[in-house]
Amino acid sequence: MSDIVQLFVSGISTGAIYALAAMGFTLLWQTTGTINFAQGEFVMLPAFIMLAAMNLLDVGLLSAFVISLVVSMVLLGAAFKRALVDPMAHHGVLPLIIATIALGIFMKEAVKTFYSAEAQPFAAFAPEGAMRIGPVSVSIENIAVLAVAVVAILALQLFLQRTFAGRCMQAVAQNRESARILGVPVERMVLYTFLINAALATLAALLVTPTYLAKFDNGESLGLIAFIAAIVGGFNQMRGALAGGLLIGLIDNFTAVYISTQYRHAIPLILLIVVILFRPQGLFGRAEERRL
Amino acid sequence: MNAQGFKRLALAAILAVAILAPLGLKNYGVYLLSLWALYAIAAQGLNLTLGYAGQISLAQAAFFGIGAYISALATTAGMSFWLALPLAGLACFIIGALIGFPALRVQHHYLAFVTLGFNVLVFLVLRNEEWLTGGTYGVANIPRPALFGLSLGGPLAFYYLCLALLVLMTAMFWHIVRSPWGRAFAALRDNPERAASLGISIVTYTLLAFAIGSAAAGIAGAAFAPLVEYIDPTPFTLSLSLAFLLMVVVGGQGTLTGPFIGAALVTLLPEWLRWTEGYYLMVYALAVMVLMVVCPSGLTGLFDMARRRWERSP
Amino acid sequence: MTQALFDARNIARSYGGVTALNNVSFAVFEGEIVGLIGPNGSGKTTLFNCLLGQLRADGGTVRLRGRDVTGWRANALARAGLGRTFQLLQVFGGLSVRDNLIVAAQEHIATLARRLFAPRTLGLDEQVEAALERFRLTALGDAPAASLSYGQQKLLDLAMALMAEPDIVFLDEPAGGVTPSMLDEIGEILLTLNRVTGTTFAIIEHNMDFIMELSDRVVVLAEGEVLTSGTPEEVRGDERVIEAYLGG
Repeated sequence: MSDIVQLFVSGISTGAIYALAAMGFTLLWQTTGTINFAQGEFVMLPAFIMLAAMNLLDVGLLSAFVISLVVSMVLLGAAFKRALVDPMAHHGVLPLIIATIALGIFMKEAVKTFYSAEAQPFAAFAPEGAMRIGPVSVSIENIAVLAVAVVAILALQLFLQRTFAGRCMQAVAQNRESARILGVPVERMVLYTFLINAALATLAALLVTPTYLAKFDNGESLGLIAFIAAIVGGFNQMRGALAGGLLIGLIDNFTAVYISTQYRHAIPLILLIVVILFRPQGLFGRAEERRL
Repeated sequence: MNAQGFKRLALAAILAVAILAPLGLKNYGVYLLSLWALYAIAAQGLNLTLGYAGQISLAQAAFFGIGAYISALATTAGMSFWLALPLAGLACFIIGALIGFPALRVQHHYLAFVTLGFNVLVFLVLRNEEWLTGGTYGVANIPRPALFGLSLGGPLAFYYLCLALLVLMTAMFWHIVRSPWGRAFAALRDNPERAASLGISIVTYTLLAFAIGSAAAGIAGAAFAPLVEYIDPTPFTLSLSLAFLLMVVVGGQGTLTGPFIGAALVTLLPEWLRWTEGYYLMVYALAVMVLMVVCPSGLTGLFDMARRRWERSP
Repeated sequence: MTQALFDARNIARSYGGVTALNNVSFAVFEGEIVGLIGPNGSGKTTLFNCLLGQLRADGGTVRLRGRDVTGWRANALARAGLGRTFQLLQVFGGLSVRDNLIVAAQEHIATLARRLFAPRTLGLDEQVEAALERFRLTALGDAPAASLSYGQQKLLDLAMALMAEPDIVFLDEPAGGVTPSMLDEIGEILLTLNRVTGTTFAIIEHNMDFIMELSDRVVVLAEGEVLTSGTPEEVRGDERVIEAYLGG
């Protein structure tokens, strides 16, 4: 029983991290039709920016996080939009897919060449150890990760639903042209989504890296998981990405223990294929009117 | 010179270079050229699926791998390579048609993800099913074939085998895209709804596009196994599928010469960029990004632009 | 009693609780030109989509020459002898005008495997040249369809729908966005085809003069139901039709 609770908590906490990456991914898709194949690297890079800040400037983890947040929002948010997405706005989906694949390779190689090819230890922001709640014990780190992720997700939801800018962003996501006619500053809102994506990725980096260590190729599996979470949950809705992330996190943890570790990574993929074939709008997404 | 003549000239030039290129090269250089020929075959296949029929696939490396394993397992068990080669093509044709089914329900990015998922699954099976594939130990001592008693074991002889395969496959693709099938593929890519209203079966042609494209990868893979003489699952990851996609798009999708150029870039550029030491992949990635921003129709599109400008100037 | 060439019975379709088509029935007889009119939102396009394999109807049956073709896919309907055009222009921009015409007929010829090894034009050369001439596109045969003017594309679109010599052709707003002189030309072509080769047409159209001139019989749709049908004269004088158009 205690095992299952522990597994559940750790599953939800990993899932919350996946959800952060998946939600950013969904935001970009909704507002600009960008399928970011470099999303995993968008999580990998901020971890190294934090490491670099801590090593070179000799600052603490929190300051390093803030520095990384700013740098990421400039590089992975604004610059990514300006230099790559904007010029390709009318080229169709495929060239941009190729460009983000190339961007991912570029980021990986840059980190490998200029920082290190070896996995780097990364300080956890929460103390190790377990906490007893009644009869079960759960890891403090898991709880802390979960708490931070939940706060971030709630803040994002509040921003999207309660603030004027947030509602404008949703309007842009749903229908860009109508939003423009209604006087929404579409370009600025799109920029916001790129900034938010970068921020979510940086936060995900802070939460995920202590477990996996910082390595240049971390993004490969993380990016894949973010896709899967976004699609399984429902590509057209933020809460779909959230639910998808949590689900994949749980599946990941439970299959590792109860099913073979060899095919651990296969389960989310099979889920992905089944969902795409039989429920393309995602488990939690809205169905769109389908033609024959 | 008109576009048609230009195309023929380009193909003839590529063939001439390909025949003469290995003379005077060391073994490693000849190996790279052989790899180029096989990558170009697989890229030709993806070019049909993507460039002519408009269906994105990120599973080309999986079919390349399936072809390689079929050929490796069959020839090490004593079967003739000349039998294993079409067998690999046929198997990939059938599996490719099955992978085409999702394309009937979903398009574009969804299809990219389904095929991507399939590629990772195939990799996991190759790695985990040790009884069949040897797992991470792989399959060793894959024999190189002989033809009419003539051994194709030497690097140069084997390269000419790869080149002959490439010429054959290119001729096949040239025929297909010019046949009524090619016209139906193009119609489906342009406007599936209208195509269906004219009697073109979306089901049949979509599955065909996938099956033919996959079969090409299977045949290329079947020749890849004796080229490297030892295979394990590592080459057949998603990265290679992405590389095939890069070859097609960077070379110029929907053109016959594009995959040759794309495959050359992916196999040979790293060697030419040796002087940049560790930076070549970065340079390469950067170049791809710039190309996509400047000319999304790829290098052949860039050549076309240059040719037209040149023709217009007095 | 003669059997209808095309017979739709009780076609129903609703979108999330809103009824778009409420048991619509209509028939087209061999050699007829039937106009399908109605105010905006009366369900004309939904009806076309349900009949032609684009959209699944909630209920009803469709028969072509007495054969039940309900729920058939668009390509199967095309091969059974039903041609169509779309409201928006739908030519294959990347293909040449000739290839557009060939592709419109090729699936009706030989088997799939035979088509792979057949000559490029599948022996359709004469038919293609005739179509080019009839639609005055001969000079443009090798040009990519995307390079044609709007009017020329409209003609090509129509020529493609006719290439396979279908028994019945559904036209969705053939007069839409066309200049008056081109309009006359299209009307003339349709009439000639109808009189000479006996092609049957069902036409959705907003241009009243055009459709009244052309049609043998007019079916009026309003609010997802058949309001009335009859000769152009009968319909023209019908008060209910005027009322429906004036926004009852």
